[in-house]
Amino acid sequence: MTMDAAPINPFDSLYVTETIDPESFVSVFSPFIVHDTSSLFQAGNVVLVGTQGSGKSMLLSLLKPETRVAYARAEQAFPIEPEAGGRFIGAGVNLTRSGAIDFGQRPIADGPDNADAAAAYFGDFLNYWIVEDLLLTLRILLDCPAAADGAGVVPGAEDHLDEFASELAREDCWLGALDGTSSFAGLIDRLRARITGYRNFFNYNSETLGSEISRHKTSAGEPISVSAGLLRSRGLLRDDANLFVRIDQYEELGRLDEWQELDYAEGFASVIHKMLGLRDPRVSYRIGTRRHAWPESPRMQGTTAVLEELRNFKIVDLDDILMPSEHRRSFPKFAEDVFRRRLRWAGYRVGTETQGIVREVFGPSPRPNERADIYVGSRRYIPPKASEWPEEIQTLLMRTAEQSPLDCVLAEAYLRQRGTEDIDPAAGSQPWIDRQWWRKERTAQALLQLAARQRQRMIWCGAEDVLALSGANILVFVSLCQSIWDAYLRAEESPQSSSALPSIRDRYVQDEGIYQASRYWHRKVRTDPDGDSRLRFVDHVGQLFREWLRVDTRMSYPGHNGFSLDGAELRADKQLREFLQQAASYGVLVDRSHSTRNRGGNRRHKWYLAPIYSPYFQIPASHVKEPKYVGIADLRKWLAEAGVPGFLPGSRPGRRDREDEGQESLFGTGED
Amino acid sequence: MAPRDWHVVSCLGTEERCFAAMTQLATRGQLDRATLVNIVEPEGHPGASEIKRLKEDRERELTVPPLSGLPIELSAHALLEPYHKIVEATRAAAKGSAHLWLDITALPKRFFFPMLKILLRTEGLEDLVVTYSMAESYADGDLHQDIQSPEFLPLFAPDFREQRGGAEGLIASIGFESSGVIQILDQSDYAPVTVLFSYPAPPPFFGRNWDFVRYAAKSIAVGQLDFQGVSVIDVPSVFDVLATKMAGAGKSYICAPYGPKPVSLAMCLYAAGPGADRAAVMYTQPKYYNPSYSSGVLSDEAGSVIYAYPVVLNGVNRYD
Repeated sequence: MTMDAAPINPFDSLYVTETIDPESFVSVFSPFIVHDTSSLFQAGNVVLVGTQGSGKSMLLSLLKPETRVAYARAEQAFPIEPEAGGRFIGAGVNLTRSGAIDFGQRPIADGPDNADAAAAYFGDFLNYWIVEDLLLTLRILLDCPAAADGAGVVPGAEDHLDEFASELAREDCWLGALDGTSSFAGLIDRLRARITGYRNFFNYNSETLGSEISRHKTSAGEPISVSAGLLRSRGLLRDDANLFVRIDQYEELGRLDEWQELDYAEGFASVIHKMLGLRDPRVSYRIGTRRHAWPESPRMQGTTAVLEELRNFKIVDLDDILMPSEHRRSFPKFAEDVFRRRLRWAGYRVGTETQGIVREVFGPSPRPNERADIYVGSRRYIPPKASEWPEEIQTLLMRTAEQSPLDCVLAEAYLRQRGTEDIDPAAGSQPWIDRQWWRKERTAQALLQLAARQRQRMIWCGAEDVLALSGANILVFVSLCQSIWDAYLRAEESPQSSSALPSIRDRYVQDEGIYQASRYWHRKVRTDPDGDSRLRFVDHVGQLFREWLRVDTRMSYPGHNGFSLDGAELRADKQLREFLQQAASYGVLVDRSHSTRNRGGNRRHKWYLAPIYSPYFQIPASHVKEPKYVGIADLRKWLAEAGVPGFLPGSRPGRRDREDEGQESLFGTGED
Repeated sequence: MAPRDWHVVSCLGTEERCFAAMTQLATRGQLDRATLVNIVEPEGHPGASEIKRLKEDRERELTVPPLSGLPIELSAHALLEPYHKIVEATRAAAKGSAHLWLDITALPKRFFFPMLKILLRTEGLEDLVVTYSMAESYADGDLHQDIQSPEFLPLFAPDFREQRGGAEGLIASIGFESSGVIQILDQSDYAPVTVLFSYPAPPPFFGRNWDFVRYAAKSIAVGQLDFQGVSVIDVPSVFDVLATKMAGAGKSYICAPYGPKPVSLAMCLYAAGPGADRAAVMYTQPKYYNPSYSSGVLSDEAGSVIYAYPVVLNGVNRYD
């Protein structure tokens, strides 16, 4: 791409998909988090957990043959070295798009065991779908020898496909259903015919499933294992190449309870658990799911046994990996890599050095005093008078306000909190400056209060703000960049049309872009499942948080842009727990487990709004000190006040919201 | 069409317009009997008491002329029930009826799509007319709440083999509430994306259409969007647009019916008929509908504005 034409927004499209040309795909695709998620590319089962936008789909797409082919066609190295686990082939199923969750919508067998029977058919359907997908994967790879080679497909495999197919069809695992198949293409057709048989039944194109299907139901996971073994034993796949089977949208099973009369969801989930429970070294499953959707005790089909973490599977939690902590700061590096790739793809001259590139374009965020000056502008900040403050204190505040409005607001809070006894204006004592932690914890609240008093909107701009508001969510980060760039292109009379890296330093342009992105994400809450209810709640608590921080002029509670609930109390209230967990799984709330300030108390869960909503609600994005401690009754009151269905006075929880009657919920309790 | 004794299948809803077509038939003495689908809202509906009151109003209409005294049967359903119940109820309703009148005015898509598909396959059906009554106005606020995840509408999952790597196209009609399309766009890699713009659209719809475009442009590059103007009421012309877009394109499509109901009807007829081998229908079912979804029945100098679309006439499916 050249820069002769009008400048474009490098973040024009939020999503990077296979629909763009391979070269562009490879240019834009960031494999950065591959290093932090290495177990995804090693043998063994993995449950990949992440909120929307965390990069889960992007990571799983690395397992698809199309991605490997895109790299090969662009003559770029695949992001995972063969020795580091890059030698694999992948197959998979998306539970929604395959129609797998239609099982249970039409009874297959009558009688009390209907749910179990449906689960058996569900497993059979998954087997056929995944094995067909595996064969299609082989076909795609073989059409691109470089990709096939990288995946570990043995050269010359093409010549043995029919032989392999014929042998696979004769395996006992199919119970004779595929007997007589003699070619690779024929096997694909037979597998597809079975899938079509299911679909015809569920689409009411046929009245029965057919005795062929009923008599020859395969055992969940077995044909997949057999196929994998045969690929190796017949020399089509290298022994050191893995087979990764993706099962995506596992969380959608959790919704089946609401749609169906019987407890199909648990039965269907147990089929997937059984596949993982096989612990077959020939196949490694990759379950993609939102946070909180993976159960605490995943029961396996046909048994009361449950899967055990580490023994049967590992959990890779992208939110945990990307969320900045004391020991880890993966997200900024990931974001900068994405940023650099997008700019380079759009034709800007960027080097290979990633560090600092966001700052180079957006500049640094203003320091607190600079923000305060922006809020005050040309209007003086006049501190309020309080009768209990002596004249010399009032004078001190006036003088401080002249020099630093931020210091003055902090001083007011200090005086309200601690009184004036230990303040000696003549001696120049200024504890609101000297007590660094006290000050640090209250600076964001002071800025909020200052902006409110000066009737100004809080400003967000600069690299640090962009990264903080992203909340370790790459999609939010790209969206922020997109909006800032849009604002820049609108504001500039003649935006740079050269390939030189632009410098977008106008704080108000950036602030406008960030505010628009925040509005977009706020509105987007509605577009997700059950989004209206979540939006009502978000609006309610967003306004509460702002009000708490604004009216707390003593600044005793600077952490009240979040709330904390007792873990045991929350565990006992399934409906409320699931509501909050769903909000977290869609990235609307951020939840963390924390210890209590009360001696001997239970562990607690704290909840914050995702940082991207901060500009919309005009609340700080940073989390300091303790959030507000609340009880279940408070939460229920807020939900009722917000008008959230199911929490209104007199309303009865829906079937799936009531406490389980002897069965474990598909959704885990989320205790850390 | 010659006067006949029609069996009407309609919905006992909250809207004033839900019996408009049936009332017209009864006034003309052409209504033989009716089956009314009574959809019980999910527990926890914030407007439960209002729904109860409005439905009682509608039920009272059944007790006064011209509907009083007619054989009208209620068929109880839950909005999110397993779809085999919808199919069974449709088959039961169609049994012994040669002349059917399906009024989709107040029927959710989750119901009327499978119902129509089943009716189109019902042997012995000589005539099938689908009707839609226009409302005088719509609620100011949201028409529904809490859409669910994208799923194929009952009986409209793909019959075709899916393409790999984003090779499926998306054809979405948009209207007053299009947040579900955004969700579908966010979760998939369909290309190209054809957006059916209803035209001429009254002002509130017009504004919402552009709202959608502004919003969608955040998710995908505008260059990937293909806009196509379609009539709000002319089902055969929309059907032709769909057929032209999809036939011979060498790829399969996912249809997303979010616009005016006649446009959705055209999608249903296409995907249930000639497009069955290349079109599936995906939708995000709302959990709660606004009890005051619409008010009144639109009327002009000739009376209530009710559109009737003959689908099967004298045993011949005009959309096959």
